[in-house]
Amino acid sequence: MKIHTSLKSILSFNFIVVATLPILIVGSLSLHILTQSMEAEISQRNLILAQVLASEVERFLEEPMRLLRQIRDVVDGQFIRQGQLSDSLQTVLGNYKFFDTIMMLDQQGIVTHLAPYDEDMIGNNMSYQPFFKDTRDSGQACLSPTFISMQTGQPTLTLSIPLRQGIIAGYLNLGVLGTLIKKVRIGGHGYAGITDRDGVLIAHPDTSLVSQRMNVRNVYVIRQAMAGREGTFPYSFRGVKKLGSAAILPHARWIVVVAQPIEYAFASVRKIRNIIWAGTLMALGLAITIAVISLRKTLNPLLRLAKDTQRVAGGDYHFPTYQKNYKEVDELAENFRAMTEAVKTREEALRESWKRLADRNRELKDARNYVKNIIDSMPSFLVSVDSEGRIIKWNMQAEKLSEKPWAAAKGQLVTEIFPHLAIQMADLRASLQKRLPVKQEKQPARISGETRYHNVVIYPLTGNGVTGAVVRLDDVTERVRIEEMMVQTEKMISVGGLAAGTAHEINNPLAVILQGSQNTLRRLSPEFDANVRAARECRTDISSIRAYLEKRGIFRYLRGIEDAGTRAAEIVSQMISFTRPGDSRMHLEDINDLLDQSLALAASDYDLKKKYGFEGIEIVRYYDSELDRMLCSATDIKQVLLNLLRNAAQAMPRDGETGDPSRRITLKTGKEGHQIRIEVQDNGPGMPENIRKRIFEPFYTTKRVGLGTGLGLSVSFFIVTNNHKGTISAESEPGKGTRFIVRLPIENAEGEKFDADFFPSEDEC
Amino acid sequence: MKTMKKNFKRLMVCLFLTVLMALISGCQDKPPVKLGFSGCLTGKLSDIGTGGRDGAILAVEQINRAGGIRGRRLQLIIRDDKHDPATAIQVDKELIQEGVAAIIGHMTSAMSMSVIPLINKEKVVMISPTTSTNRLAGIDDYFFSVCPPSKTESIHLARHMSGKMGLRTFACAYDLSNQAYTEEFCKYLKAEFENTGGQVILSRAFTSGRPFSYLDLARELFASKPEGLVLAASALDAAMICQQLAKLGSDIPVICAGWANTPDIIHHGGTAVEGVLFSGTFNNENSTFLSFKKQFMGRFGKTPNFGARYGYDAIQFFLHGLSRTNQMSHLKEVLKNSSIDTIQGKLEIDAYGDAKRRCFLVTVRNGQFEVME
Repeated sequence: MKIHTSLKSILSFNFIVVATLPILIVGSLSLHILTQSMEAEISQRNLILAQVLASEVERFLEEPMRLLRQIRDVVDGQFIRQGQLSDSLQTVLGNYKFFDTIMMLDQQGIVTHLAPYDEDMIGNNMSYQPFFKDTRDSGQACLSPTFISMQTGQPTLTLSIPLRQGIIAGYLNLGVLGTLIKKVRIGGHGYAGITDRDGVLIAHPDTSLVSQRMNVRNVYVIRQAMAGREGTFPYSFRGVKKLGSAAILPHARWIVVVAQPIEYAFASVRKIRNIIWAGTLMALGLAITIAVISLRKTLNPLLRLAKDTQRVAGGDYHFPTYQKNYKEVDELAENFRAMTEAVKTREEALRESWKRLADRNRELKDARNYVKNIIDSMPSFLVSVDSEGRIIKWNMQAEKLSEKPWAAAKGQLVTEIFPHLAIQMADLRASLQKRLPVKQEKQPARISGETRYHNVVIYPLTGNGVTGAVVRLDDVTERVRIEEMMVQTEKMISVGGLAAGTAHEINNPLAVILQGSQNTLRRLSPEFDANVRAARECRTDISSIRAYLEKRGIFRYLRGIEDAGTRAAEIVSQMISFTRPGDSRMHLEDINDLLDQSLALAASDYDLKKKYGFEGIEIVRYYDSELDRMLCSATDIKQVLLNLLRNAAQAMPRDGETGDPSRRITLKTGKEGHQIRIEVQDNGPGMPENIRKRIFEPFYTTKRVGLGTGLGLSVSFFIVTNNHKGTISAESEPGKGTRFIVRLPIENAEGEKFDADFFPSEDEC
Repeated sequence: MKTMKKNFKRLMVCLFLTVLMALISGCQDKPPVKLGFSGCLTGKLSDIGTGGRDGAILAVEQINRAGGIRGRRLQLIIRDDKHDPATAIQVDKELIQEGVAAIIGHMTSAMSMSVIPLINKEKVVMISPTTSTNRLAGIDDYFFSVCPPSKTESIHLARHMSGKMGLRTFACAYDLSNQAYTEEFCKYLKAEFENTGGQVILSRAFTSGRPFSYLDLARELFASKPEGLVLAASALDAAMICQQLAKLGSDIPVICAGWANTPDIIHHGGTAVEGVLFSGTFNNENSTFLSFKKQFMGRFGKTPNFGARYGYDAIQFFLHGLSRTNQMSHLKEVLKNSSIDTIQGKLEIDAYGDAKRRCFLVTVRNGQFEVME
């Protein structure tokens, strides 16, 4: 990585390095040399002290040994009688305080003489004592390992030398070593200690370590000494770093250590090191200060130039004049000024051409917006697609229809966004291939649960080598509906007129038949005197005539004629009502109430209940509670609604006795412009288009013969269209249920709103 | 200016990283597991105490050299109970305040008895290397011993005495300074011996450390003319009594309690202790023990006594516990009903924290201990 840094940093850094490196090198070198020589000196000093102590201890051991040799000489030279030996030993013990006990053993290790005298000890067998074995086997003076005396509790040593007959041994109390090393104090923290040849402490300032026979053989300095190396070694004891100097006693192989915590041992070295460090730091500080001051003077004009050029770069072309400075800097400043002028001129020219370009752009943008506005404002649905049917552009109407944002539709297949255009894809391909427009009229499509009709025009794009097409959709649903309704109404009026005319013609002969049959029955009745009299005149009586007629079934025929006549009269009367304007009185009614009343009627209808299980149908109401009351004939409208409910119930066959819970009639009311819209929808099997177009025709029924007259919907049609000037239509698709829509105008034919006061309500009549 | 600032930042980042690394490397040293040791390190009984301490030191040093326990070093904190009940309680309190995980100690039954209420109250596990009093056996507490209760030893010896040795009577001397151990030892020995038809004709107490005459004691024992002599005393005391008996010309077989089973009895007893009988729990010819002995000699320059062996075992037993749990509060539970292989053979600890080991008969022959069976 290449370091990119400022001239100032580089110069400062170099300057500081040059100034401080020699100081640092000289400082650390002298520190190193000084530290080493001082440490060596301290180590040497401590070692000498240890050696002096060792020779002191050596001398301490010499003296009792000399004493034992003297006794040996006396005993072996037989200068004293055996009987006086114990007393002599007692005297020696009294005069020389080093021994706790002196004893003489024979060759078998039996204690023969002992001072001080102890009955329990005299005569004891000491042959398994290590000191006895060592002395007897070596034939030389021996020092035993140290141990803690049971009598004195002090570290003790057995000194033993061989006699001609047995050995002499003394228990040497080493307690005095403790007092010897207690005098050694170096700088308040240094001290001395002595261990025996096994590494067990026999003298230490902490006397408990001695009495507990602490073995310190694992301490580094002792390990070194036990391996025969005298010298000064750093070591760690109980977590404290120390400097230990060890000296070895040649004969006893004891170790004398002078120990000092390193922290205190090298305190003077640390002091000097601190001074050198402080000096180096000061030199460093001074070097940095000088570097900063001198560099500032050199670099300031350059920094100013940098700042000015930065301003020029930012767009301010005013370049200040410079006072005479360093020659190089002046030249640089002059060059910059010339450059600034050139840049300024060039930029002005550039700005001019930019402005022209921007104007042209704006015009272009306006034109594009205008075209877009035209396309968006069109009431038609416009989508332009590529050769594969992917959407390239659309207008506002298309966006509204798709209910999707442009971002989601862009580039998608047109059939994914408008699934109902799938059937037009063939046309699209044909149009692209033939490069001719294709037009389809009144294409049905189900959009949000409603059948809409569109005129579809597909025309290929021809200009600029663009391949693709534009799909234009115009919603003609309303027009189709109106056309359909006009045809329907026209047809119904002619059919209705025909039916009514026929009915009128039939009515007269029917009246004769009915009247004839009624009169015949009346004239056969025994209750009328005229009949009785007439019978008697014919030399018979009325009862015989009745008996005869009864016997021949004449009465049955007559009643049959009467019933058939009555039924025919009813049908005829309904047929007549097709053309007769409603004579029932109009009142202000609440449509929602009328719907509820019709529901109640349907629920109590025996036929509906029994055959179609009306109570098992779920009724869903979406009433508009804000609806105004409207003027209409309550009886007529209820009849219409009941017909529609019955039709719906009959359309949904019941499965078994339990009833199908999914059977549902949805009732909806709402305001639609100047009309009130009533919807009755079932979820039955629906019907195909050819049936739907004929359902309002009189006597048209899909039910089995005898189940309906085929007049219910026709009557409803005339009530709505003739009596109330409204419309009634049906929408259906097989498998998707049927919806009847009744629209009733709120205002009357003359365009005046019905005045509630003008028509007194039923209560007032 | 900016680049200079950048340089300064770099410098600061370097410094920060250095300090951080120093801190992290400092943190890597986990705190050591503290372990207490308390026993009699001074006085007449110090040979067992210092032996136990040295055994423990050797074990701890070996464990630390091998990397400690789960990366934590063991720190052994050593205290001297001076064979004084009040001091024993005092030093154990100090150890508990230091936060030790367990205490290895004490080395005599008397001291262990005196601190039992304290350790049970403080819920600190105590593993004694050498306590063998029967009074602490069969109790579910925080006290464990790697040395079997002395009644095992007593019964072992009594059966041998009345069996192979064919003794019908014995006299006994016991040291009141370690009464908890010696009395129990004698009691069970006597009971077992009398069960098999034997008879105790003299039972004599003395107190080590107080001035008294070994010779007078020996005379009294000798005069009762027993077929065997039982000594429940320390090595030095047993050696001294044997020395007196030898001077009196006694050839009565001497049976010693395990307390005296240290090289000291041979050093101080000389030929007078030849043929003295012990019940020991280890076989000094087994290879594991020989390797331990070599390591001990290398570290301390002397042969390990039974205190050292048991001290070493006690640490091994503690380590066994730590290897099974890292929560000190569970230590007691994991130590119960466990068994480990020690330098002295298999050690089994029962639900009461009492030890079970195989017993051997040991005698002194030519100034050496020797296993008889």
